[in-house]
Amino acid sequence: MGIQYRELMDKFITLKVAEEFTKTPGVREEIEGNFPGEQFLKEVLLLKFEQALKENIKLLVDLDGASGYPTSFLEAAFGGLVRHYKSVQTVRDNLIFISKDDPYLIGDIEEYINDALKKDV
Amino acid sequence: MFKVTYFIVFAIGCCLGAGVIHFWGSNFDLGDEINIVDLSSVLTTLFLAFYIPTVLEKNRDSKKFVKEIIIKRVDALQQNFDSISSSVSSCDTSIPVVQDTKSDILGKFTRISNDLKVLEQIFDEIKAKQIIKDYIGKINTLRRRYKNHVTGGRFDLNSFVYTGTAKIQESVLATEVTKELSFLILKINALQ
Repeated sequence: MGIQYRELMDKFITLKVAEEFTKTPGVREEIEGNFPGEQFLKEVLLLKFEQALKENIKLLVDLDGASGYPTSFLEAAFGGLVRHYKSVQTVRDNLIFISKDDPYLIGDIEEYINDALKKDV
Repeated sequence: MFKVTYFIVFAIGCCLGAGVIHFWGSNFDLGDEINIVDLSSVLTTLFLAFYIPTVLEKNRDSKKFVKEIIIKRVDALQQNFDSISSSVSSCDTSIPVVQDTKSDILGKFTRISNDLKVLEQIFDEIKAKQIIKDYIGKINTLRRRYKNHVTGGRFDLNSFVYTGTAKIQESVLATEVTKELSFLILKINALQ
């Protein structure tokens, strides 16, 4: 699910987490409230994913530039996306990631996606 | 530099030999025939005198250097895991984890991922045996389990606390990581 960024920018809808949501996912100031993973899903990820599905292209999620991603945030966001569509395949087929800052992050997210429907919400 | 030194030493040896024959040759009863066994012995000694330092020892030192580099990387990996463990164990079970601590933990996990990737690339570069590469996979799986435990649940909540049970489980996982990293160092040391 990882890919070379430059070559494919034009063929995807892009979502840069650090720019479009927060540079500190899962580490929030009191005033910003709780549940950032679910908030990211509802306010950003779902909308972009739906747009990608409508236009029949993939959503490219750029994970770089953030200070790190807790499991709680990733599971709530991407696991939550699977639970919203009730389909691991739909998410896997239409989502691509870039992560140069953390080389194993994509593998971690893939695990959360694969296990999302097994989780008791 | 080494070749020049070798040539100089060889030349000195030849000059000394010629000097001895010239000045004290009458005191020695030199034969006209060359003994094949003695000649083979001299040539073998010369060959070993050249081969051992330039090839064998150089090869041994090179492998030792690579092992030291790898072990330093594994040590750095261990330090980051230890740092996270220390952060978790120092958190109070009744006080929410502060944002700075969370940021620090997440930053350390990112460094761990990068250090692990570098190790993987080094093992590919030196064409390490599959059993060593498999250890990287094992440690990565442990890394993920450990990260899931330390930053999972409701880590992103402002009110998140590490319970007593969570801290015990963290300690168990951290010990497992230390064990596997120690085994990796043993495997590296045993490399030919």
